[in-house]
Amino acid sequence: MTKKTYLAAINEALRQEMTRDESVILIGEDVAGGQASSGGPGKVGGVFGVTSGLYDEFGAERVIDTPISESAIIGTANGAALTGLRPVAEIMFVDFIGVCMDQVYNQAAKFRYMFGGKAKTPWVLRSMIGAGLRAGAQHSQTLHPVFTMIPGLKVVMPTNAYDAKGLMIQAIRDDDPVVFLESKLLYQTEEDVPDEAYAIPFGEAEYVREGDDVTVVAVGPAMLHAKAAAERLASEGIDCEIIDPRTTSPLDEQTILESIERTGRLVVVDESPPRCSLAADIAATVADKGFKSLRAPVKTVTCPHTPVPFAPTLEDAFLPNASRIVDAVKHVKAYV
Amino acid sequence: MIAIEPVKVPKWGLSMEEGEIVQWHVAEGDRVAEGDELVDIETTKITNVCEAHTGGLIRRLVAKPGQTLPVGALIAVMAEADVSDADIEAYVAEFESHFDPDETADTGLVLSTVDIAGGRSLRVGTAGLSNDAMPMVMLHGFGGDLQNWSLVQEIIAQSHPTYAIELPGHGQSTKDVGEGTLTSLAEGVAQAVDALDLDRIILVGHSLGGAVALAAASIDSNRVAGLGLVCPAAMPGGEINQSYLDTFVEARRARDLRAAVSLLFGNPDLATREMLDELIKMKRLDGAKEALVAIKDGLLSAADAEATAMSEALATLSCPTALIASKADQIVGVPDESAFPPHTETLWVDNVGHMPHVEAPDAVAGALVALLRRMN
Repeated sequence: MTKKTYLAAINEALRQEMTRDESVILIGEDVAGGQASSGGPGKVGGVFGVTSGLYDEFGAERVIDTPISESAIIGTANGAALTGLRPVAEIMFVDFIGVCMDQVYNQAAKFRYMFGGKAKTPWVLRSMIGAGLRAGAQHSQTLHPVFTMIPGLKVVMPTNAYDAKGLMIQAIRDDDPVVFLESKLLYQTEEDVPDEAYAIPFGEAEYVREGDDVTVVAVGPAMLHAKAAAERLASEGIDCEIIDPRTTSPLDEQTILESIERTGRLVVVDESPPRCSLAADIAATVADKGFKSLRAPVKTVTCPHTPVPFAPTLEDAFLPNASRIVDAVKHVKAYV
Repeated sequence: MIAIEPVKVPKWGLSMEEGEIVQWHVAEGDRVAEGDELVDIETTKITNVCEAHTGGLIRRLVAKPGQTLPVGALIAVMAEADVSDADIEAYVAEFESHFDPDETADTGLVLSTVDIAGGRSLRVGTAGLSNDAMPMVMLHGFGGDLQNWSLVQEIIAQSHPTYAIELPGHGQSTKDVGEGTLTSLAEGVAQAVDALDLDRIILVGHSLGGAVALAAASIDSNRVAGLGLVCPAAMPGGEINQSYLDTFVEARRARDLRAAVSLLFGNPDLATREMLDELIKMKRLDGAKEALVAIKDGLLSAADAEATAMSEALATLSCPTALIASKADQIVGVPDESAFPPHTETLWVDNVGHMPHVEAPDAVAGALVALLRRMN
């Protein structure tokens, strides 16, 4: 086992699945790249290099650059998936999903249902989420609730390199459309990742940390802050249990409810805006199904209901951070 | 010369490169005797207590709980009261400025793969001198890997060449287990031993690996000069804990594995979160679960037949044999000592469960060294 970055782990998953199954193809803007550059085709491999090297290895027929047209990317992926390929389509920033949303929610997500179970749409939609890179309101959003609320889509949000590889492999092998949301801020985080292929099943949350005092559920990029907060709280004698749902659809409610049974207290941390969000969804689920376990009101830590600010000081103030999580945990811990 | 005695992160087993300081049992100003418990250190394999290697006055606890430090790093300083604080500070600064973890972290374990029949390969961890001494080949148990042997292998490797082989379906070996029977696993091991160009060997197996070792010895008695069976599975008198196997195979989360894996040890706290996570990760590898299911089914469906075959194998066993087992084994039960041939030397290890080579490596290594001596 060797240390790999989150980015390299996704790249390795794509490579291994493309090697194993020739029906796996990549399609998107600059997934090969470099077409008109001095380096020639294949020299970009995505804006952050996630698909780097795959054009050279698998060629232009399987690593397909598209015009800047998201509806063409997902429309093509839909047709390819319906007719037997396993496309991995990239929407560079999740903020661009609006222009192809019909292809996603009203076509791909519905095919299996509309065609009486006779059609499957085994595509993966890769996209980047998250603020913190001073990229402004139109390149910084965390839109997983938009996908999570649509029946027919599966939604994956890896928070570390090991999960990123195993979840990507599962996403490619899955016969339903899977939205795979990569946290830009996590691309360079590292951990031990097996060289062999492995799949992590969907709908199975991970206990990132075990503790008896307060349950903290965190998704996507917010996990970094949840871990930092738990360290700080541990030094003050408060033992957090951190749960990473890994997939927001399906959601592993059982693990969250089991944890609440022991701790009686819940803080949900999510970078997306608070209204109709995953934080609100999990809080409501626990209020509904775990009410008897609760010993304090559920607290959520999210950004405010505003666009992501461009001013660096405002962006920092806007995002959930360890201090806000520490405060929320102390609040629910102190509640009698 | 100022008498300052450093306490460093110990090296437990071939693969240990670092350890996390869990909890100090002493405070600055305490006087300790040799063998007193100083600190709990957690590695990826085990949490153990580091004892004082000499008596003295604890002057400085350099490492704080929660810190992860490489093997050989300074964690505490002992010195008599007449040594000044300034001298202690200077000693710590001097140590840390010269400390190079890469120099001490050399594991001594060389990993390689060998090809066996069917286009398959097995991973092997080699340690020790390639001298003329009789080589020892070690086989892990069901769901294990070559690291299970690291504590014992480190000791044996001081005098003999050692090879820990990962069985088909395990670790980074092929996930193609063939029929998954003890015989087919034993054939795979024999092919690996051929590929390693070893002639006569001492074959040591734990649990499933013990049953495989016995099968290998009965297939080729010329090859196996001596046999070490550590808590071997499918032996007369024993009974395999089927619910353990089922839980181990089916569990998808670390939490679901804990109760089962705790049964492995005399001290259930040894089933650390890290160990459980590693097991889950191993089970997720492509083909790993199917391989475990095949081996489990092969072992259980043929349990009676295997036990009969084991009895026959034991009856015809002619090489020097060591049986190392625990009366508190909750996985394979307690083997009937009387079913083993008279040339068997038995060690019952106290205060351990099914994993004496992890919980009491010195005792297990001692019995294996005694077996090696019987070769001469």
